[in-house]
Amino acid sequence: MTVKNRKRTLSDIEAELHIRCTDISDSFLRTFTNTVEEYLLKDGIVKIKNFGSFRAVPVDAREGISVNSGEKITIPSHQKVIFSPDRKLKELVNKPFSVFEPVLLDDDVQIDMSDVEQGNEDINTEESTKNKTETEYITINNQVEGHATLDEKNSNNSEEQEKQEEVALPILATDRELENEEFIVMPRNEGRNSNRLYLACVCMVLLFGGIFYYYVIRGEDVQMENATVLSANSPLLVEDSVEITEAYLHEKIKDSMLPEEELSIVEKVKQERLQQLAQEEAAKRAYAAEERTKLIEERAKLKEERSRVVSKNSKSDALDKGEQVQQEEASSIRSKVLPTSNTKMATQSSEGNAKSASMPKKKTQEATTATRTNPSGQAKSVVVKPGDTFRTLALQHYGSKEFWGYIYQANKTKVNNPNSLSQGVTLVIPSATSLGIDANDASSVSKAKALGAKLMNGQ
Amino acid sequence: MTHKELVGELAEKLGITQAKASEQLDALVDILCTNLAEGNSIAFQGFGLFETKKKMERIIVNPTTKQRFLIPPKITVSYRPSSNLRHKVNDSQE
Repeated sequence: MTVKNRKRTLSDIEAELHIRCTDISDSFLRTFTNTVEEYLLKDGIVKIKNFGSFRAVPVDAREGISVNSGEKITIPSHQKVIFSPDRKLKELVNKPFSVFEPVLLDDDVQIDMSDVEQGNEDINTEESTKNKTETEYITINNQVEGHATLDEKNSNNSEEQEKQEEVALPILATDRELENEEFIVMPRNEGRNSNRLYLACVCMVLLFGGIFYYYVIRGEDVQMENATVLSANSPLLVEDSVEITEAYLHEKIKDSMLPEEELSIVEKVKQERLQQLAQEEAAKRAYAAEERTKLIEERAKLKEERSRVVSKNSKSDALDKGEQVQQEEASSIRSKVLPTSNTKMATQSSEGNAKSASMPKKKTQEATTATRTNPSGQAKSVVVKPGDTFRTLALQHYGSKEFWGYIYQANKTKVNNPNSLSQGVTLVIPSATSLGIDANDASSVSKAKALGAKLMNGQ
Repeated sequence: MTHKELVGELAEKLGITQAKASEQLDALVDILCTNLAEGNSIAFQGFGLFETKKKMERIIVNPTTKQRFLIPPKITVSYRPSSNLRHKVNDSQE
């Protein structure tokens, strides 16, 4: 690529020289060129300060192709004149591009040097062997300065240069493509990052929204529920809670500073809410009144049963009287508290010994132990057989091993140690109804467990 | 041939002092450099042509470190000897 602004000839340079040096001879330039030619032929090198050096370089014989015939010919060895510009001239000429510097391409692209070298050898078979690069680097397009030399055919030289440029262009194009790929990839990454950031923001907003809903709105509902519960328990507080909610809504309306249209909607909502609250309160009041009436009825029943038990126990033993009454009371209270067990207790009291009726196996066991059963539900006596313990006896007569403590308490005078029950001893086993125990009742079982643990600790 | 020898030869041939010859040679070199820097080509009939060429940017690879460098474009001076000079040089070899 030639930059040709203007072609200066010998006469132009002479004219300029005459302007610079008035006393210069007309034959100075001709003498200069002749001298350079002469010493090039003589010494083979001519150095000119701040300009450069001319050298006559020998070229070895090589094979070539005739342009006219296309036949292979041998180009004989000859000499060519080359010019190496001085550093100052180089810098002066390259001043427009002096700002540029070599840039390290950090693109992680590995180039197979063997392929590059082979490609260059194929392209420039003639020149690559002769032209050694000035730098220590291996150039890709193999365009080394000083290629324009003394070739016999200038046209061939220009064609070769064009070929070199054509070869160099794809390589540069690939590099540009790589760079473009980088530029393409970067926005994609940025897009992905922005998408991720957006998703993270959305997740955070949802999370904070959920937390806000849970603690604020849910907290308000809980407060409202608490207020309603309080109002149900104490009817006097219902009006206060309504006032509180009204005040709360008024405060909210004031805080929110909504427009007039929205305020009317809020008032409607408030009225609806108040109506709902009033309905709920009325329902709860009715429920509380029903509960009260039920409690009063249950208390009356309890008093009646207590009076009946007292009359019955007056006929039984004086020792067991106190305990039986207490247990009867406790069982009746439990039955009132737990309505499910109430019916069972009623059946027990009417039938006498419910356990003996519900468990036929135990009846056969009782027969084997030669017991003297009492159908009226009173205490019975049992002769201890080998292998009998308080637990087995409790299981037989009460349906659970845990009630052994009651048998032991009834026979404390006969047996000192509950762990050692001697054979042949006659034990008194009080009836389950008189003790108020039931194997199906978890509370009586737990009470019996506590009694057993107490007895064992006392032991 | 060095610059000094060239100056002495010119002074001898032109019949001027070496200082004068050196001054005139420096003036010639300055004119040549200025014209080349401006992008002008200089043709000396029977000697050759000086011109400037623009070399495109290219990528080089450091064979030891395998690092790739982008060499920026640059303007270089090229000299194309005349056919007369080439013939003279080759004739003298024979």
